[in-house]
Amino acid sequence: MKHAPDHSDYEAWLLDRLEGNLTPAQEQALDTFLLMHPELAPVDDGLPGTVPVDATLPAGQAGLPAGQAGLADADKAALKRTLPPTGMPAADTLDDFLVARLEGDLSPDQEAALDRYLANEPQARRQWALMQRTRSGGDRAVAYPHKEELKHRGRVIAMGRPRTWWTPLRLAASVALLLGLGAWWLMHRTDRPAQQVAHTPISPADTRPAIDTTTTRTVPPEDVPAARTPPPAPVATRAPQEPLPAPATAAAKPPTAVPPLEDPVTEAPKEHADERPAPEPAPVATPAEGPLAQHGTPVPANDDDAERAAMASTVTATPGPVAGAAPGMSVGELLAREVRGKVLDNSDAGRAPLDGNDALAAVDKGLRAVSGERAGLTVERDGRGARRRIELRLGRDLAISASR
Amino acid sequence: MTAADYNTAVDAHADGIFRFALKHLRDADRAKDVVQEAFARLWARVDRVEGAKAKSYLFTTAHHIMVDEVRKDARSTRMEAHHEALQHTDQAQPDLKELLDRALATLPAVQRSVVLLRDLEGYSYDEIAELTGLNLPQVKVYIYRGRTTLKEYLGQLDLVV
Repeated sequence: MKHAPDHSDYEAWLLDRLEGNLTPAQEQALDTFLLMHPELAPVDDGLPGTVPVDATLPAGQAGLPAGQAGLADADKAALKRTLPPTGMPAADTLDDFLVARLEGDLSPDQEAALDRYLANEPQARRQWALMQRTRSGGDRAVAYPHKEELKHRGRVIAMGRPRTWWTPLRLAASVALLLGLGAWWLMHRTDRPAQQVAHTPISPADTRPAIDTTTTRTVPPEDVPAARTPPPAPVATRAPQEPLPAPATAAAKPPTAVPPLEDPVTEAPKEHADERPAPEPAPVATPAEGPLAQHGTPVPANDDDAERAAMASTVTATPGPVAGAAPGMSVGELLAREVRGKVLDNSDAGRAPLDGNDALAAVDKGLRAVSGERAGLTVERDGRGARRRIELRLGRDLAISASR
Repeated sequence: MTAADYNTAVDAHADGIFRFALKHLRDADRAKDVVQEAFARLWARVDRVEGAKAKSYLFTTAHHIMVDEVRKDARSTRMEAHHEALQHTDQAQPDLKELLDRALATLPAVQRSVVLLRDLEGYSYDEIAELTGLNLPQVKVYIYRGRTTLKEYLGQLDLVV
């Protein structure tokens, strides 16, 4: 590196200074160069800097060749600056004194000296007038308008940052709520497969007549081939005290053996449905006839219902290995009674097996158990039983409601 | 610090924080955001901040929020500022307060905070150093540089007017 920087390489010198590669003599040469060419000095980035107290040039000596050093101590002292200033005001320290006066940092002697200086220098008086304008006066009339909203009168739930052990439980309760609502919805579905079949429009290519699913089957047993007639014996002859055999369900299955719609065996009577007289009261409904009638179960309207009826009748015939089961009570009814009585604290066992109201009660009870008595789920209904308002409370400070 | 202390701090310092932020950012909506954020952070640490330290905590938080805001703004070109500059060139005789606000906007964010804490709240050098995390000489240099920059800015406008 050369002995002194110039316009062609001063940036390399600055980089070397940043990296600490300059010797003291080179540092001094660079400072001298920057003093002679202040426009080339690094741009002030707003960070606090240092006053070059070791600069070798006194004021008014900027024309010296680069690298010339060796100043008297008095000249160095003249370059030194302090905040607040020391000594008496002069042209090159006027700003220091003006700022110090504005901040109240001058001694009485310095104040007096500055007054004398200003009295003799009109330009300095203008500078002082400008300096006095730099003080920002806060407008006390300006006030924050929403102070009440900043105040807190209760606990705050920090969303997104769980701070307590029960916050995850609240989230779990929310998931349980969603599952409960989903179960409720499933239990209240009105688009069951059988009805879908019944209401599916028949395409023009399908020449079969529509099936009336609202009437009971009127086909006498003898119209159905024997091979497809459900054998009644397994259901009718099983003793009440016998445990439920594993194949009992299979024994009750024969109704499912009734062929589907496209089966020609069942289609044959349908093709003549219009020709047949109106169905008479089903003979199977007579208690004395048919094995199913012994249980008072009406003959179902379609195959699915027949299957369910057969299963229900089978279950109904299950003896009483379950303690507390009333005679004739199904497992579903028994389960409903137990759940209502021991879990939901509701002894109303007269209703059908667990329904949507029970699902709501379960969610409500679960929320209370997790988040306290202020939590829960409330559903208000109108006079027709339709849901009018639903309110979900997850604790003291969080509730969601919807109404229509 | 209790909830009652916190609410007392709201009454006592919300206005000062708002004025500080308004002078700093020159945007009422952003100044409100700064106030809300500062008090939100205080509330989040309400059990760890002493009541007597609430004011310094709030001003320190507001200072850091605004410095971050200004630095984020510096990285992106703000069309609003451009439009504002155009509007200012159309105004004939802005008053001294408006001129000083514009001059303040030319200062680096930390310098601006130091000058405003000194002027608006009357904090001492030591207090400003504690609030801003600077050391004492840095505070003095910042105030000196801020004052001289403001003076030069006003002097130039004075000559133009």
